[in-house]
Amino acid sequence: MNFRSKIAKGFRVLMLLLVGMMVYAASTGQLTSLPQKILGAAAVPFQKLTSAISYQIEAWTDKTFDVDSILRENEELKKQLTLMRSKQFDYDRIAMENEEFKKIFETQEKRSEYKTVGANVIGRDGVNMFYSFTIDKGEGDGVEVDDVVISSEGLVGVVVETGPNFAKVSTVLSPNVKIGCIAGEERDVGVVSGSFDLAEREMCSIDYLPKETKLKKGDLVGTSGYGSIFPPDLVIGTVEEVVINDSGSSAKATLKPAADISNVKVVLVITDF
Amino acid sequence: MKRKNIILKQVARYFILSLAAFFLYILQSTPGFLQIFGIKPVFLFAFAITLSLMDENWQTGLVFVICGLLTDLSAGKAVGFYTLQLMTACACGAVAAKFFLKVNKTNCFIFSFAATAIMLTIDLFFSFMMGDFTGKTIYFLTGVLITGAYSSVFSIPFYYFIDFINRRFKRFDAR
Repeated sequence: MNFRSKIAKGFRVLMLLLVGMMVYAASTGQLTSLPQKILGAAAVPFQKLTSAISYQIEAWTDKTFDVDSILRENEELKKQLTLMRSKQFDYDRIAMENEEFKKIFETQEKRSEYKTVGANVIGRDGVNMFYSFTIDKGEGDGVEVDDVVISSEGLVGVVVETGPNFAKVSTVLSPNVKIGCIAGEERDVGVVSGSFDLAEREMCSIDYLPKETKLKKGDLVGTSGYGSIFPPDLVIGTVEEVVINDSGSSAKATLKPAADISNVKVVLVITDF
Repeated sequence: MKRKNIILKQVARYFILSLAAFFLYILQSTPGFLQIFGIKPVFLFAFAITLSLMDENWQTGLVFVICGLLTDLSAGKAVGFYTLQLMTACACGAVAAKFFLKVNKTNCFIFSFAATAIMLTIDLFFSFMMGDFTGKTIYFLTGVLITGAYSSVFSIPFYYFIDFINRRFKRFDAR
């Protein structure tokens, strides 16, 4: 191969151009270049079509081949409904007492009004290992980098890149996403983040918990609101297991996200809170 | 006139290959498509590597750039991360095919597997190896190698497709 030929020189120029684009992307904090945004925007209508077809096929196969698990889930849900109904009386009593206490102590209730944008999941790639996905809303719809993404069940992730009509979301299973959290009845403060071994089981970890934590399996974990990215009181998931670190100075727990990260199809992007 | 026809045929040929890359990007990112136990194939790698073994023209480099940019977009990586690696792998593939590698389905599969595994390992190294994350070794064995093997299976239908395109445009040179 003649390394001095025009083709080889052209190849070297192209490589240098790509390295330059990478350096520019790193310095500006943008991951995608203009050609990529154009290709991504052009692909969105086709991705919507193929993802819609894929979801229809998945729904048909679930209905046809998964009848037993659906029946089991139905029985389980019936039992839970019966339990919820029996707790309804206690809830009504506690709610009434709460209203009375508020009047007594003149507590002002803080309400958060979130601005949200609904979006469909149109792409998931095999290269990414933490179930990151692409949605069909972007800069044109008011979506920006670091906007939080939730589903009807709980927190899903955060927007890491945007295009004119699409955005890429990194999920809570990714080690690069760190979330300040409040856990359990004692409201212990910790940090939720992902790891490889837990991501395979679609779980993440809660680090820096106090060593005297009273967390137990089933305790609810929500966002603390500390920092400017995640609004407070968003449900993240439930505790699976709690262990004390080898050093004995803190504890960590395994968290099962409330949202179905690998199968979520429709999400809400919180554009302002 | 004859030269104009040749140029038009070349343009049409690489337009079809670029369109195929775009179509493969759509399929690659479709949720649940050919997904087995959470593993999805990376069509663009297998397509680009197979093309590099079967086509020695410099114009094919543009198709490799498109494949690389689409993979960067799909994976949420900085522009050029996979593009540079893919171009290097394809250049190595073209050199190998020209001087010592026989171009057949088996070699396309093996070369595609090796290149895909190396590129995914580099991603694993720069993204997570240098940090204190648990489970990296298990992920390498189950994630990187299995994804590489699964993706390379599709180098065989790509081999037939590219062969068909080459024959259709009468540019296939038997090695």
